[in-house]
Amino acid sequence: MKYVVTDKGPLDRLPPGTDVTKLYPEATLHRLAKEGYVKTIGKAEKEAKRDSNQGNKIESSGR
Amino acid sequence: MTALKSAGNVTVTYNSNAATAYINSVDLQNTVAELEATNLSSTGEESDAGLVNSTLNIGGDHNSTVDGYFGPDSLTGTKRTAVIVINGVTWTWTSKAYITNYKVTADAKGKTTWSAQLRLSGLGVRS
Amino acid sequence: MTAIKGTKSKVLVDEFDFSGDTASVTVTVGMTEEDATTLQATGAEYEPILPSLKIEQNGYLVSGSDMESELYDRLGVAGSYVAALFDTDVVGCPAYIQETFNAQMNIQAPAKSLMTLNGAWGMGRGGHRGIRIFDGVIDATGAQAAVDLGSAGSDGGIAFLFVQAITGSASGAAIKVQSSATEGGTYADEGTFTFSALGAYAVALTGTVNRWLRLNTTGLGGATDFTVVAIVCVNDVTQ
Repeated sequence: MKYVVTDKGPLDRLPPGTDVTKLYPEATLHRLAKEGYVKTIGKAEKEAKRDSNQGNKIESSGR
Repeated sequence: MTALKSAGNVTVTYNSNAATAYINSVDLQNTVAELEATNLSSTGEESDAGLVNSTLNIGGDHNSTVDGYFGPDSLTGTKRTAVIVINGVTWTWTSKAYITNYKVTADAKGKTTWSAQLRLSGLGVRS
Repeated sequence: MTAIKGTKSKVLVDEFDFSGDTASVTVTVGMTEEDATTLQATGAEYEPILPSLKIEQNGYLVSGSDMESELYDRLGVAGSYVAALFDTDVVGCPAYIQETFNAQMNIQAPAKSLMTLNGAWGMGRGGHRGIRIFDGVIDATGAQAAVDLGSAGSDGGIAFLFVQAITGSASGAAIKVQSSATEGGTYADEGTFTFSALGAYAVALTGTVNRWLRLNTTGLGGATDFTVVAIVCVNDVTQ
C-alpha cells in the first residue's frame, strides 16, 4: 500500500502525488491521512475497484 | 577558438529549482586527493590519485525567492539533487548535494547578497 | 531579477528594532560535516552533522539610541531573541532567529569619522528560519490577514512574537497563531502568545501546520494597542 500527498498539499514542500510511504513513520501516515494530506493508493484502491465491479455483475442465461 | 563568456553558458538547478537567475558566480571544484607514493627508490616525489572531492560555490543577489530555495535546507543539511550545466556539459549529483555554508549580507549602502557552499558528495555524473 | 537594496532588512533584538543603528547585517548558517567514504566509492562522500546560525551586525553609535546599553546588558547574558529579516517589502519575507547572547561588542572611534559599534551574537541555542506573518499595530481583537507559506508542514515548528510597543498597559494580552489549508477556510489554533510586557516570546507548534498562517488577537489585556512582529517557523517548510 502506498501513501501519496493529496491535492490539499504541498506537504513539507512535497507536491501532490509524491509517494511518501517511506518518508514518515506509520503513525504519522495515519494522522496525515485523517487530516487529508495523504491518501492510500494500491491495495486499498484495488479492493475498492473490485467491490464496485460486483455491483455491475450481469447475469444472463441461454434460454 | 573563442573563450566562452559565463552568462548564458552556465545553469544551476538545486532541488528542482532553477537558481541560475539568482546566481552571478559559479565555482565548481573537483579536487583529486593525492596519495603519497614516494618510496625509497624514488628519484622525485610521487603520488597516486585518490578520490575526487567536489564542492560548488555560488552566490548572487538575494531576495525572498532564492532564500526559499537555499535557506530552509541550510539549517537541516537535507541532501538534494544538484544539476550544473557548463557549456552544454551536465554534472549531476542526485540526492547528494547539501549546503555547508549559507550567508546573507545586507549593507545599507548596497544590495542584499547571498552565497552558499554546497558539498557535492560522491562522484558526479558527467554527461 | 531586480536586486534588493540592503536597506530592506531589519535587525530585531527582543523588543528593540535596531535597524536605524545598523549599517549592515550578516547571517551565516554553517553545517559541520564528516567524511563517510566507504569501500568501492567512486568519489569522496560526506555526511552533514550539525547546523549553526550566526548573526553579525555593524552599526553606529547614535545619539539617543539604546543600542549600546542594550548590547552591553546582553554581553555574555543568555536569553535574548535576535532576528534578522531580509527583503522586508515582501509581506512574507524570510527571517532568521536565534535565542542567544551577545558574544562581541567592538566600539571604534576614529578621529575623522563616525563612532561605530560592531557586534556578533553567539550561536546560542540553535537557529531558526521562518516567514514574517505580521509587522504592525494591533488595536482591536480579531484576525489579521493571512500569509501563505506555500506548503503545509507535518511536524510542528516554532513561532516568535516581538512585542515592540504597548500603548497603555497590557495584562495578559493574548494573540493566537492560526493556520488553515486555504486562505478563506477554517483556521485552527496552533499556539497562543500571552504577554504583559515588551519583549520577545516563543511558542512551540506541534503536529500539522497548514499553509495559510495568521494572527488572531483574543485579548488586548487592557492596552489601547501594541506594535508587534510575528515570525512563524515550520519544520520541513521554512526550516
